[in-house]
Amino acid sequence: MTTVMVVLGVIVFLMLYVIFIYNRLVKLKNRFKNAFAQIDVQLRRRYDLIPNLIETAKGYLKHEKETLENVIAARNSALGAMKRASASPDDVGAVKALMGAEAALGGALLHFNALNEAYPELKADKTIAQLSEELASTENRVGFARQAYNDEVMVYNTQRETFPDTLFVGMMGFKEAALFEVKRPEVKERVNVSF
Amino acid sequence: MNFFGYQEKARRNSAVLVALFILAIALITVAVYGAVVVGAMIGQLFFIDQQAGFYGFSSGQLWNVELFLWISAATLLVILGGSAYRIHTLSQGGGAAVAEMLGGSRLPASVKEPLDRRLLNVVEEMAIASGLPVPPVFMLEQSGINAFAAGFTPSDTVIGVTRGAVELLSRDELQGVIAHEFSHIFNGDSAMKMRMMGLLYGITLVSDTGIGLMTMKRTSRFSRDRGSHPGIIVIGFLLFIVGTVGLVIADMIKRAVSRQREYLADAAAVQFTRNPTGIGNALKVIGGYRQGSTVNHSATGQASHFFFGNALKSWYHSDWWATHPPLEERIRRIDPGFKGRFDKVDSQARSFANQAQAAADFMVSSGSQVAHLQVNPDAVLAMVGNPGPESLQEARAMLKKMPARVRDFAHDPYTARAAVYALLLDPDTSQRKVQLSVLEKTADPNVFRETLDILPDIGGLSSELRLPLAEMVMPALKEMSLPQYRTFKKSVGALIKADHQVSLFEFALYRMVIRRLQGEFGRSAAVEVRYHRMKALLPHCRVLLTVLARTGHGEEGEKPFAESMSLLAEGEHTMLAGRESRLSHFDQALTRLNMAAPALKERVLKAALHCVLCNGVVFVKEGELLRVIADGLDCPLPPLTMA
Repeated sequence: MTTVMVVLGVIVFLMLYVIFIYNRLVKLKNRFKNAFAQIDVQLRRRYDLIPNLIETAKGYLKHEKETLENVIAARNSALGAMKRASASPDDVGAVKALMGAEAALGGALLHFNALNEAYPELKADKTIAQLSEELASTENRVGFARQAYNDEVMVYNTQRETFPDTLFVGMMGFKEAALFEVKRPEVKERVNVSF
Repeated sequence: MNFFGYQEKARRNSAVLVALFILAIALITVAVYGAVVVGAMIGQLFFIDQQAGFYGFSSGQLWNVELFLWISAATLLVILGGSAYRIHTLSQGGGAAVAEMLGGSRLPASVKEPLDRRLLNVVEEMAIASGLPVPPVFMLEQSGINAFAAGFTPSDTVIGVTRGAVELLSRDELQGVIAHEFSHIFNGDSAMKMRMMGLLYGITLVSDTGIGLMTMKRTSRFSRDRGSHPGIIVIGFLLFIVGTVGLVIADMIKRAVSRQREYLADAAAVQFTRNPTGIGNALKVIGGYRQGSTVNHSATGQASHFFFGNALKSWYHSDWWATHPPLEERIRRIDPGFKGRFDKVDSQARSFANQAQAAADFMVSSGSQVAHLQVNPDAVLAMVGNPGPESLQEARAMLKKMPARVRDFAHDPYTARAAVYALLLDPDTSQRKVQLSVLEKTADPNVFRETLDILPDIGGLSSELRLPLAEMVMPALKEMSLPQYRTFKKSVGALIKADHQVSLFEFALYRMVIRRLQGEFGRSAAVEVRYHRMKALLPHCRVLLTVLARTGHGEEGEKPFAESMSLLAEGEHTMLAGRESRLSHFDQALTRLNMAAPALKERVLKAALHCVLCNGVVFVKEGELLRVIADGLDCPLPPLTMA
């Protein structure tokens, strides 16, 4: 009889413990999802700046149509990827896709910046300088937001792998979250500028 | 009744809440016992071969002391354990924990979407007008129109608003709803509701346990091997039934404690905005809207008492059970001419109109400016937790005066840090040089550059805008991660220490910003009331008033000091010497005074106000110090006009 009581007690205790684990993970998951909203804001800011920059540069770069189009295309696909990712920040695939799109955009912009060096009059344009400056500042903001997001993801992932949480995460459907890391591609070849 | 009276009342209500809770536990214990007895009987009826399974408990016997004690112990363990657990998580997470539980996501302080921006502006205005730190706003993606405020202390309080409210309410209506929520914060309701949620969780846990027991059988091989009592399932089912009784009791408690508060908050919202149509129309829109104020989320039941309108639907919706008074009655109290008929709301048309209006609002900026100087301490005291429409207008005008660039900086977590650093930089160039070299070493180089960038704008800010700016940056700073916060805190500390002397403003800023942030990043439990008599507090009051008198009146401070001390205790009073009244003493004294009962805080604040206002002028330094005192006592004091 006492055993029945003890078994019952243990069952109740275990259940409470599982509820506790579940709630803790939900909380941490919410945290990193919220942190993603900040990235969303900053990236949007960035995507809004790029068309202005390209539009202004167009006047100087009649022969570089391809580079400009590349930037715009990369920007558009990054925007699409971001919308998908911010709809579900816990979807590793969506976040990874955004990371890829961001890297591509970074590469395209790098090409564009290289043109800056080649066309002195482009560099001298005030609007371009101002937009570039703002873009650089936004880049830092994105970095900051990304750091905050990654900090939260780390906390979540660590908790997820800690015993005993790790026994239940599969059953409860807590998937590993992806860190947001963007590798800035180096320009491998010098950009050929044709006049 | 004033702010302090309401706080006192909220505390008494908490005592009532605890009493009801104990009563509920007793009822549930008896009910659980009954359920186990019935369960065991049914079990024995069908499985006679497993004879006399329960504690020497044979069929037909209804009362068994040993069994009852066991069951009481188990029930108490579950309920108290559950409640303790919930209270613990709530005190760690603060209001944000509630918002997140309801599926809310933090609205980034830097959003640009007109409707979201409008919401943040309304909240910011209201906070600055009333002297509360600007709370973070959480968005619930729900089409119903609803809102809530949750948190133990002003520093961990958050506002939650549904998407429906943002899209379907006009600015005035939204303002009415937000004013209603702010009044819950002033009246101590939000804190009480947090405690209520923690306590009641244990009660609702019984039904969860029941559900668990019923489903456990199928998943656990352990119990099948033991050939355990099928009665367990029956007990589980009965626990579930009993638990439902617990749920109903929990709702009745919520209803008893919170229903009247809704009328109060409605009235306060009208008084605050002096615009009965705002909140009145908001209620009417809810009445005429198909989705009403429903919030579809699994956690709504637990948090139903936080909401502006009835968040639950189904049979709960009937007036008798609801945690909120009927809509018609609420409207009638605001608008006596209301006939009880709701016009159908065309949600799409309203949503479009609001979006267009919100977008237009940001194009033109207008606003009348009202200045008022209250010289009577009683009049100022009456404004605590009860800011009038003047304060609201003034806050709006003040925010308009804030340069757009500074505002943008304050709303972005990345640059908000730079704004705080720039605020801390000394106007004196030689001091500033030292500070800058320290900052360059401790802060992120990019943020350092942003600081230099915004410095001319912030350096040129008129003095009355400096502390409001410090309040504006709060929501953005709360978006940082813990490691980012730590770095930030270190830089702020280094910056303040750089010139080897802590100025009053630096102290004020540190106390307001870092103390508030600790509510977000550390534990945010409610402050316990430890002092009920003035006598124990007198030494702390002496420190507080000495610093205040010396700041405002220099060495001529003896008279105002003695006068204001005499409001607290009889006898002769002399100021403390300079070395006994440094800012560090002041800091400790203020921390102690915050543990005083509301009625005592009222007297302390009144004495401080007397000390400041007795010569009819509020100097900026005095005003800042007063602000720190009010802030440290968790009393929202609307900004005073300073000279």
